[in-house]
Amino acid sequence: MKRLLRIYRRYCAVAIMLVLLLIAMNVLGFLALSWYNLERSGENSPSKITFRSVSDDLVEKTGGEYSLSAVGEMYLKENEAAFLMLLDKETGEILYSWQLPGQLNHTYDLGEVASFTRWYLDDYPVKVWNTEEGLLVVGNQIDSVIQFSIAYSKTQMETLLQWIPIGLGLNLAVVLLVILILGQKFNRSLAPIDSGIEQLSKGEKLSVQGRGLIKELADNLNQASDILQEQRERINRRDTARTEWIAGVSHDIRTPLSMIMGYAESMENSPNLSEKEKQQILVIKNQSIRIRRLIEDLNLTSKLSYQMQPLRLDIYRPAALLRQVVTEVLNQEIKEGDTIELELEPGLERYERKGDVQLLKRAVENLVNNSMRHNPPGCHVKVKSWVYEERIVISVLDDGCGIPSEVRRALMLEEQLSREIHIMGLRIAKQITEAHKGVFSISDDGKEVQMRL
Amino acid sequence: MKDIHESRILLVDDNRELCDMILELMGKAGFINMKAVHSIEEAQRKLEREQVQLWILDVNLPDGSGFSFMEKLRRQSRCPVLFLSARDEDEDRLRGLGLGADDYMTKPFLMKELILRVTAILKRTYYYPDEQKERDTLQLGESLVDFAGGVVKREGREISLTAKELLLLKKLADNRGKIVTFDALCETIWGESYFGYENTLMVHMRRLREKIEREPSRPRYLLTVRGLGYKMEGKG
Repeated sequence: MKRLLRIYRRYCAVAIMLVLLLIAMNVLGFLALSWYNLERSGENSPSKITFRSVSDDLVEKTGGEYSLSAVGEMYLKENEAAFLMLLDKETGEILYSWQLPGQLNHTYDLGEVASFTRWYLDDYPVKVWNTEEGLLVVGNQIDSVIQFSIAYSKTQMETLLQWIPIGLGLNLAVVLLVILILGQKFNRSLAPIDSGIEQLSKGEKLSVQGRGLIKELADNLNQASDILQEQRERINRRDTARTEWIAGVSHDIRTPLSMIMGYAESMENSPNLSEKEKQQILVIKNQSIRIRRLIEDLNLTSKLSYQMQPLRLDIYRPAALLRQVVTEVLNQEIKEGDTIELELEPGLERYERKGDVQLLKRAVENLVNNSMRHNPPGCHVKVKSWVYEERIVISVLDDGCGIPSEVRRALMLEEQLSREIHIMGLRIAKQITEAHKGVFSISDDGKEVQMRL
Repeated sequence: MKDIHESRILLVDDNRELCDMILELMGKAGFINMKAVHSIEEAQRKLEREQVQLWILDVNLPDGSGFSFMEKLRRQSRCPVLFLSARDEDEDRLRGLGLGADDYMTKPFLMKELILRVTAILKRTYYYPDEQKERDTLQLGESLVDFAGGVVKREGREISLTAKELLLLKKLADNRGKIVTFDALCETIWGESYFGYENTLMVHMRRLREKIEREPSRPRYLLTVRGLGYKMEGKG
């Protein structure tokens, strides 16, 4: 939801910026255009010669005769004037005319003058100026100029000027409101997609409902979820099949192995066998016991790797658990010369944790056995435990040859083993640690293994 | 019953070769009244007609599960049962023991262990009185511990033991020659929430030594294993 809010805020900011940019561009554009127009119409350009400034000089009177001046000629030409006439101010008679259409060649009364001053003269747009000589009328071609006069009341004009900024402000507010509302709506319609993606990342099955544009998105998301789900199920099925297969094989080996062990055991004490034969029988028995251990480990490791070993969670005290493990090792027969020592931080006693006691014991046992089995007699194993940042650290270290780097790599980086190495015990310890959300590590010299729980 | 070896034991397992082996080796060990059947159906018939003193049951049988047979069996008799199964899951073990089985062993197993466990069950069930007497006294050097009487007899004197001291001695004697952790001892005396009693345990042990040992400061029988617990020295 937070992510969506961020997108929404971003969208609003961009939209508002766009509106402001548009306004700024309009203002700039308008200014630029005006400036350009002003620049282009230089002093001598024809349009600059406005009617007002030249009207007095258009017609000159030389000895009672009116004629077009040079300025007048230029003006009329540049402005594509249709005709020109000069009316007597008193009588309305035509004093002088230039290219006057026939139907306009008559005397004008006050009414006619008033009318064309404002509007048109027989559809010709005209400009009128009161000169010394008379009333000067210049007509343009029909339809070349639109002419209307404006009259506003002063108060109306003032209110208009007042309302322009308010109106603009209101417009802006409406635009912003629309942006916000649309954004919010969009935001809300996207919310199911957002939570769907979140669910998807957690591996849950989804069915996202969406309307309109969102529907397609939602459908695609659901489809992706279905595909993922199917894949997950397929992988699970395969893992289950593999684990079950291993469990089945190890189950089937048990009965035949029982017989091998049973008969080997009975022959061990037979008086008819030579010493050498008895020795061989002992090997058969011991190796059978080892196979038993191996199939148990194989079964456990396969279940742990596919999370099919249910944890029986109980409250336990790490200190008590470690004492028990070390005691059990001591109570069994250990190799002549081997020693084991337990060192607990005094503060550890009061700690309690939740975990599968049997599995945790198995993990520590594996580590201790590993140290003793892979070192010559006289190995000293030390089990230490302390509390570090509220985590229980269990460390098993020995003064032997250390775990070979090849085994370390195989175990920690899950590299393929180049040859047959017995790492099952260590791997199970690692898997058990990880099943308890702990961290398993081996020191660089391979002499210390730590479980942080 | 005169001899434990004459107990009538019935093995139910569908693997005939395994049955043959167990019968042969148990026979060698002296169990002469042992028979085997290979299906639930046969076991059912035996249950109805014969007086069996110990059942050794497999779980996976061709015509049913050993667990459901066990339920049927329990409705008719209190006869002890030992499961001998290839199923080593905790769940199976717990289910078997939960049904009231006396023991649960997984294949593959050592014959010696099977014989020891069978013997233990039979002793517990049928020979308890004799065993009790045997177990009721404990000779530690010149001290003789009498559990029933709650006293130590030493140099012609009788020194009484407290209930907690008796519990401690019993626990150590049951695990003679082996280390028993502080935790296990405290739990025996104070139950599950025993945390914090370690020092009290030390006091009890000191008193016990004073009552039993000739030189309490240099004990011969009740030994301290530093950092772990106590141990009753093995035979001798």
